[in-house]
This record gives sequence, C-alpha cells and structure tokens, in this order.
Amino acid sequence: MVDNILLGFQTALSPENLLLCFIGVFVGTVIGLLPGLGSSTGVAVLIPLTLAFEPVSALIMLAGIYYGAQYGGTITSVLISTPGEAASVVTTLDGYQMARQGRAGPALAIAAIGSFVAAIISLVLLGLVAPPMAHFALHFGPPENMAVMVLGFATIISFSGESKLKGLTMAVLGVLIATVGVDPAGGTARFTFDSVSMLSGIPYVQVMIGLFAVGEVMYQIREGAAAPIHARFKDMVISRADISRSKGAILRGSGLGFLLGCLPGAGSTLASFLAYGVEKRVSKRGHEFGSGAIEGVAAPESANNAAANANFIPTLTLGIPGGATTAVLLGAFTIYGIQPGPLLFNQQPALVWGLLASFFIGNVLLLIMNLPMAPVFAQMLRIPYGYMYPLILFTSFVGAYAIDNNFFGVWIVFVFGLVGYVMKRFDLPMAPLVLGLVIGALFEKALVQTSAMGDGNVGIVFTRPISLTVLLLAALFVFGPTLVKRLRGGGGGQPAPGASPEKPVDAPTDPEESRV
Amino acid sequence: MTAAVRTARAGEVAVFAGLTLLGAGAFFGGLHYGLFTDDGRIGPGMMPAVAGALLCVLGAVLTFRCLAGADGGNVGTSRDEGDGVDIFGRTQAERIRHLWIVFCLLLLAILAVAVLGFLVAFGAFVLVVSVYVERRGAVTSLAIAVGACVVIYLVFEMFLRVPLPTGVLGV
Repeated sequence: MVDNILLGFQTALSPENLLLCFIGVFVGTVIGLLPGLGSSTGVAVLIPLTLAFEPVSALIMLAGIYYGAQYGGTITSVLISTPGEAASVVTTLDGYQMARQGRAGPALAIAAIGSFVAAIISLVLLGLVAPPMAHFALHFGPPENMAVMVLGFATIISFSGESKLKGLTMAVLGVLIATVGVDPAGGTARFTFDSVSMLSGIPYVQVMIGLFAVGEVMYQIREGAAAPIHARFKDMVISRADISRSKGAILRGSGLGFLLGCLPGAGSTLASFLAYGVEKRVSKRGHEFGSGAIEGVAAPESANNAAANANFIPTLTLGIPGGATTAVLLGAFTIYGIQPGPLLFNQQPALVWGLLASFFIGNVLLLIMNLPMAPVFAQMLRIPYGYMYPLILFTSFVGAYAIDNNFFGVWIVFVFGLVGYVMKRFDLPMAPLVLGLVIGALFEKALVQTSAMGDGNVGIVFTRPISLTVLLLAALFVFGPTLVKRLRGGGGGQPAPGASPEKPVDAPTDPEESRV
Repeated sequence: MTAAVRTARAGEVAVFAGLTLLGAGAFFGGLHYGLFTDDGRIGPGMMPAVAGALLCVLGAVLTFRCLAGADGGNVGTSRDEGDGVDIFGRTQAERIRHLWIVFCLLLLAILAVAVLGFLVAFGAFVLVVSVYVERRGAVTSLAIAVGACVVIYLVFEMFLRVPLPTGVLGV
C-alpha cells in the first residue's frame, strides 16, 4: 500500500505530469466558468489534445480538467447564480445569497476548502477501500438504484422551505419533463411532437442554464438596477468562524458524497442534493439555509467533490462509469489502450496510483490557485449589472450551443429562461425541478428494470435488504423530524431573526437582497 | 388590494391552472402510451401518467389555495405597488418594458443566427441592449460588443473548436 502510494507520487510529481496537472486544473476552471460547459464536455472536447501524451500523463491532465471544471462551475454559481452543471445547482441556493450579502469571497473560499478536504478524505478512502467498495457496488441492482432515487426525492422537502407543496409540484414537473423522449423500456417516443431533436429528451444542462442564468437575468431586469456590491476586503476573506461553522458540514458532505459516488450512476448531483438536505436537517442553523448559510455551500461542494473522486471506484475497478465525466474518461482509457477492471490495480500500479496521487496534487493546486483568488473573483460583483447581463446572456446561449453543437439547445435555454423568470416571479423553487429532471430519468430506468426483474412486480424493492434499508432511510428523512418534534412535545428550532418561514429556500429573504 | 397585486395574483392563478392542465394532458398522454406492457411490466406511459396525475392534483390544490387567498402572498409586494424606483430612476413600468424588450431582442438574435451567424447576431444583441436599454454611449457599447465577440471567438472557436454557425458575413 505505502509502496503504491510512493510510486503514485513519484509518477505524478514528475515535472511533465505536474505541469500537465496544473494546465488541467487551470483549463478546467476556465471551462467551468463558461455556462453549460461542465467537466464532461470539457474532458470530451480536450481528449484529442492529449493523444500525443503518455497515457498516465494524459489521464492526469484530463482528471485535472474534471475537478477544475467543477470548481469553475462553483464560481459562476456563487457570483451570478449560473451553475456550470447539475451538481452545482445546490450551491446557488446559499452561495448566491452570500454573494448578494457581500460575502462571495467566503463562499468561494469555503467551496475550495471543502472540495480540498473532501478530495483528501475520498482519496484516502479510495486507496483503502476501492476494491471492496466496488464489489459492494456490484450488489446494487435496479431495485437498489430505485431506492437510492427515492432517497433523492426525499430531499425535495429540504429545497422547498415551508412551501412544500410548491416544491413538490416543481419536482413532479421536473419528473414529467424527464419523460419527454424515447422511453427506456420499449423505445416509444413520448411527447416529441415528431421532432427528431426531442427524441433524446429535454437536455437538463440547457434547462438549468435557462432557469438559473436567463431566468435570473430577466428577474433582475424587472427588479431594477441597484448599486453594485462594495464589500470591505475583510468581508471578502474567509474568517476562522466561517471555517469553524463549516467543519461538520464538510466532513458529513465528504462522507455522504463518497458513499454515493461509489455507486454507478448515482453521481455527484444526487450527492450534493442529499448532502444539503442532510445538513439542513442536522445543522443548528438549518433555519438559515437558503438565506446565505455558509454550511449550505460547504456541504454540497464537499459532497460533489468527494463523489467525483469516488466515481473512479466503479470506473477503475469495474469498468462501469460512475457518472457522465467518468464515462467520457472511460472512453479515453480505451483510446489509450487501457482496460479498466478488477486487475487494473495490480497490472498498472504506476498508472492507477499516479492518477490517484495526481488528484491530491491537483486539489492542492486548486486550493493554492483559488483561495487567494476568491476575493478577486468576488470583485466581479462590483461591475454594474447593466454591463454584465448582456454578456451573461451571450455566454449562456453560446455555451448551450457548444454542449453538443446543436441549435435545439439554444431554444431550450430561451424557453426555460422564460419559465425560470415566471418561477422566480411567483416564488416557485427551482432546485426541486432540476432534481426531478435529473433523477426522474434515472428513476424511470430503475423502475422499468425492477419491473422486468420482478416480472412486473416492483414490490421486490421491499424484499432486498439493501433497497429496504435505503427506503427506510428515505422514510426517516421525510418523517423523522416531524416524529422527533412530536415526541419532544411540539418543540422546534427557533427561526432566525429576520428569517421568514414562509419563503422557499431559493427565494431571497428580502426583496432588496435580490437587487444588484 | 391594489390593481398591481390583483394582476400578480391573477398571474399566479394562471400559472397554477396551466400546470393543472399540463398535468391532465400528460396523464391522458400516459394512458395513450400504455401503463403496462403486454407481459404486465411497467409500460412507457406509467411515468407520464403518474407524474401527470400528481401535477394535475397539486396544480389544482395550489390554484384553489391561491383563489382562496391562502397562498400567493409572496407576489405583489412593494415593487408591484409602484414604489420601486431603481438607482437610475427607472419606474416599475419602465423596468417591465425593458424586460420584454430584452426578451424580444433575445428572440430576434436567436432567429437572426441563421442569417448573421452566432457571433454577429449576439454581438448585435449586446450592442443594442447596451445602447437602447442600458443607455450607454455608442462607443462604449460597441467596445463591449466587439470585445465579447472576440473573447467568445477565441475561447469557443479557436480553443474549444466549437463550430459556431456562421452567416452571410462568413463569421
């Protein structure tokens, strides 16, 4: 084990690999800053540039792009409420509110710190438990995956504030949108109106860009220009108190993210949503979530980074991609003539451990780059919004087109921009819609497969120990707090001064706060 | 209740009623696709039908709650009542007009991509918004638009090799 780690660092710390790692995280961060261009697109687009490199060097650079892009997406989520990918959606809830309050610096810094700590924790776990976790993940069949998706749906309550009915409605709308396209069972085209572009469904990244970026811009135009945010520099730098508040959230987010990241298909998005939901439940400041709680940034950011690393467990040990980006990386493995599988750790130790060590080095580089840069990025908010929004719209539409070079995505952004505006106007929470859209498709696939496994009986989900346990966890998540409250005789957390219990979490607490 | 708040409330009712109708449509669409396959497994219509039925019920509940005044208290707040003048002295009515102008310009820019190309169409969008909506000087606006086009060209066309649609000008 120690020999392998040393071998890994020896490989990753060669000048060439170190340089490529730096280029990867830097380019990844830049790509993540562009709306729509998440890590999977970034890696896919840049694979051809790495063909001339040694396989390990190429993979180190591509992995750098992977987590660099994740952090880049966080920057835009916090500053302009434009998530780069679905895993960053949750970060907008509290990150953007912190930015509105002049605390973009601490939000970005805690995201970098949380991502770093999560990367280290998940890296250690990855080295220790990758093979056994991979075999455990093999026990996850369709019923277990379906149960995990139910657990994901259970978090919807956390994203709806007191307006749970609206949150639930938006989640169902998301699920309904996810049914557009060819169904996973028999290939029937549903709600496509004879459009070829609609056959592959409504692309959720473009939906996200429309809802968050375009919807937010339109809402801000309606709300009117206000003075740019002029925060004091000391408010732009993270304080010890911020770090102290976030410790638990980072650790819990990392653990949860790692567990979910090990499961093929569950991915970073579900991890970030669940981490936020859990943190809101367990945090003493749960009532502050949605109005700029730093834990609301720390937990999902740690979770999605841990999940991103853990995604490599099924990818490396089973050859099953853990998420979209690792699926692209799996393609890169094949291009370089590497066959992922249970024997990879033994047959190519320099490559595997070099790649794992590069995760560590890459995250150190990201921290070094981004911690001092956080207050600098935050200065962007000093630019009057009137200058910024035409450029946000321009890059959003180009980004939407660039995802798959298809103009259909541009129309999706436009239509969902209008939907996003209406949702903000009427205080309808957006996060549940995105959650429903992302999980809906996965849930239906698992449901159809479970039905096939049980010859039409989906009740087998209750007969398998793992799926039953996960379902019980989901029930606990939904009903637990109410039960605890009743057992305690109706007691509950006192709302924060000024916090409105009637507001959905992604609605600003004060109309003034949503002005730029 | 002022006229602005009444309008906002009516808008909210329309949104919820729209969701109810959408749900009903999806439910019947789901039934059309078939809830189960011939061998009794989950069919292509199950998810749309269940999601549609749920959306229909939830939308109806929200509509009735809104009509009864139990919901929708979050719209029609101070700004709707006409007191929200921004730092440029723009009234609520002006801002709403700007909003629809930007939406229309955006639609025009998207439609113009086929003729002018992506960069020129959206560059023109940035220019027009800066000059006519944000009231910036022509030179400043032109500099912003050209600068944005150059950066987008360098990042997307040159670096990421994304073939952005070109138009009659060849860019």
